[in-house]
Amino acid sequence: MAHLSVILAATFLLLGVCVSADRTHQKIYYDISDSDFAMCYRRLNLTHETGCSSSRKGNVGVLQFLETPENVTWLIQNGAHAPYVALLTPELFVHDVIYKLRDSGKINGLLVIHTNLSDYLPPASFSPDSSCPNEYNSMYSGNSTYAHCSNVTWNPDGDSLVFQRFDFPIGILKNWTQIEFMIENCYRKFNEPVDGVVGPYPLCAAQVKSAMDGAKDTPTCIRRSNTITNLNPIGYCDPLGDMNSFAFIEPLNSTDTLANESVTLVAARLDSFSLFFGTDPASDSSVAGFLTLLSVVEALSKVKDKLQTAVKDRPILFVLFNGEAFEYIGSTRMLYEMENNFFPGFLQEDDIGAALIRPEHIGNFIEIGPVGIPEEDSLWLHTDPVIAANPSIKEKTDYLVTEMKKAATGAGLNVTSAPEVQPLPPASFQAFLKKYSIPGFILTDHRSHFQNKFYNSRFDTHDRISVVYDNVPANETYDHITQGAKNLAKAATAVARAVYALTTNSSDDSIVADELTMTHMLYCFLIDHQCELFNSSLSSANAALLEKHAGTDPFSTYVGINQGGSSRNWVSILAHGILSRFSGETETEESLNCTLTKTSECEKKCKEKNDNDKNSYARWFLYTWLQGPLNITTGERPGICVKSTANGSVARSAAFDIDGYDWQSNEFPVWTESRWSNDAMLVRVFLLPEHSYEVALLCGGLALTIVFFFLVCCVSKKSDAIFKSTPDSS
Amino acid sequence: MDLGRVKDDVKLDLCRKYYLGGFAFLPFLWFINSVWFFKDAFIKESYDQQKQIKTYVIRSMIGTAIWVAVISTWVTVFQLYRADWGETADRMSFIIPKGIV
Repeated sequence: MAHLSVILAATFLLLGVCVSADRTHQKIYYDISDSDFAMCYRRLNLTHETGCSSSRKGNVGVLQFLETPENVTWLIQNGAHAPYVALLTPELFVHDVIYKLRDSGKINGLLVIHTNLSDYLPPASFSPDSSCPNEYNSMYSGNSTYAHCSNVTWNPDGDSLVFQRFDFPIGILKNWTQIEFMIENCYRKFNEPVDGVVGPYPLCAAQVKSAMDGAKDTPTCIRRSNTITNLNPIGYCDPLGDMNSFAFIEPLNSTDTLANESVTLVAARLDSFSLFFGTDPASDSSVAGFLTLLSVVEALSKVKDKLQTAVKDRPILFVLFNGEAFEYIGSTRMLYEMENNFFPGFLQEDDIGAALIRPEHIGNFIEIGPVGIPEEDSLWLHTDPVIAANPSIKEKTDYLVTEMKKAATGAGLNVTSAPEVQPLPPASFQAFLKKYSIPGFILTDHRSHFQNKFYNSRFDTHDRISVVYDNVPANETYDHITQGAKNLAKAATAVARAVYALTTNSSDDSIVADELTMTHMLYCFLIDHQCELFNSSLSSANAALLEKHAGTDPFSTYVGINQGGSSRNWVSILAHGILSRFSGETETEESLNCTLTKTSECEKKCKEKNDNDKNSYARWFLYTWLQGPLNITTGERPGICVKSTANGSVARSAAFDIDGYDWQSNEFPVWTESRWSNDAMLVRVFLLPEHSYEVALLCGGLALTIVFFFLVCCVSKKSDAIFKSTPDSS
Repeated sequence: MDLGRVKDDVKLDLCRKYYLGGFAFLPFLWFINSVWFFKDAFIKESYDQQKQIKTYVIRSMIGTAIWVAVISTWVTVFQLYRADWGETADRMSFIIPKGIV
């Protein structure tokens, strides 16, 4: 009976410990929830690792809130409780301060406030990209006059933070309630120096973790991921990549070979990045450009009938390149496919070579760069001075520029030529010009160096490109036409008219890019992704996924990873969906042979059409079933079947797909992103006792163990005397 | 098995088996042998088989020592130079650590 009660008591005790374990954790730690912070992470290239990583268990340091430069100096000179985790205002999180803190050796981690509160304004400029973006895959890298941006420093605010390696974690905190708790209840209560003296222990400490798996460089980590002797068959890193999207006004004639220099390629880039995972709105860096391109597609699709004959001889190809921020991954890949007769990919499957597009088929290259912040109230045309040495190329380029300017004047847009001695700014066009001489220009908002003081950073938000909704009621924001929308629509009108003129040799002033469409796109990509345009441009499965992201920041424009498939990130899915709708047309009840009230039947028919049309001409079209516009009376989305030439091609460096690729050849970009486990990222604060107290506790515990060990030994030796012995049954 | 209840000739047989077994690249057998028969080899009052058992135990100890030296040297060298050896070291590894070169 006595035994039973002991067992019961022990069970309850154990149970009690298990149940209260969670509460004990809460008593010790104050956790920052996963969605409220974003960490700097690791990427690898041919020779280096970049970005941040913590130790496997996370870095711990005394929390120090740095508000002024004096605070920074104090920490470096007088801080006596190293290692520290510093909490910085965004204004202080700049190159010089970060390096000073790092070099002091007292820092174990950095946290940066990143909220919408006006108390903590961003610095005057901040760009974690290089001052010469993509310089190592630039067409000028071997050119004595223009290499390494020696002529124009495109991104003077760039401090290359993304390309540095940090041994400690760096993160941003987004939730003001949690930041306030850290400052008031943690820092001010325990750690703030009073008259230069820091109070007695315990001090408040922060644990910051972003433990990265990859190391050294891409060749090493790809090799390790593929090592078969590895008992733990996991990857260490994945190639950066996603999908490019492209569309034609009309399918190409599959029976005749294309004439050289016949194709007009209109391009923009989809991606950007920042130092912190998932926090890269890229308003001017990429969004303004690709939305302008989508708007051009919509405007030209409306005059498809007039273009129909002309595009037979002069096809128009629209491309959204992805991965361009990392040494032109998407454009380099597309060029590789063109050179090897793989583009467009679906032709290769059918073994029809006639309409394959090769680099020499491209006659005009029009790229829409960053166009959101017009300098001197004008947009700028950049042309390449190197290929202009060839008189015939120069003549064709001049013709292009003249047509563009003419179209711009008609659209009421100022467009000026950038100085002719200037090289091209970083752009996908460079990936093509590196190997081929193609006449073309890049349309941007800057005369020489970037207008955007926050290029490829977390601060490249909607207000930078004049998309602001001051005093606009919440229910009207979606349709509110901002100055930014007007600017971009005007640019789109000009480009659309120029492309029309180049194709048909005649002008059409009825072509106008729709301001309202531009407004909707800007709102959806930069303000709130739970919007009508996005919902109507997605499949119902993707729309259900979209709903789960309600209330979160704009989707990340970072290209992400491509493990070899054709998966897309959100920006890529949405841009492609919109490209399909704008470039294609909605199938009618008659053409589908179904009644739209019976949604599932039409969806089936749409799918069948996509699967069945295997003859060469129809292969140019994809039939996609999308949710379509909301029926206001029924409150439902009956769905639409979109017939479009919009298609995808892989935007992943060919380096990862060529067997036995020689890494050292430097032919293709080799950026990879380190993997990390599910629990690799964490931020929390807790009270840290004095070090000597911890040591005393450990020593006391050890001493107790030893004392009891001897005690038990003695009792065991004298057991005969203490306990009445029983005869051994064995 | 309680060695105290085993006869001396069985002990010798067992000790020899462990000693010989150790040559099959099984240093742990030598290690166990040297611990297990330590008392019988050096501490117990002399008996007929003790001399032979002592020989086996001493040889087992030497064998253990050599193996320990070899293995610890290799581990030290491998850990120190794994990063420098690059691909060769990766191919030798069953588990490649995360996050470090």
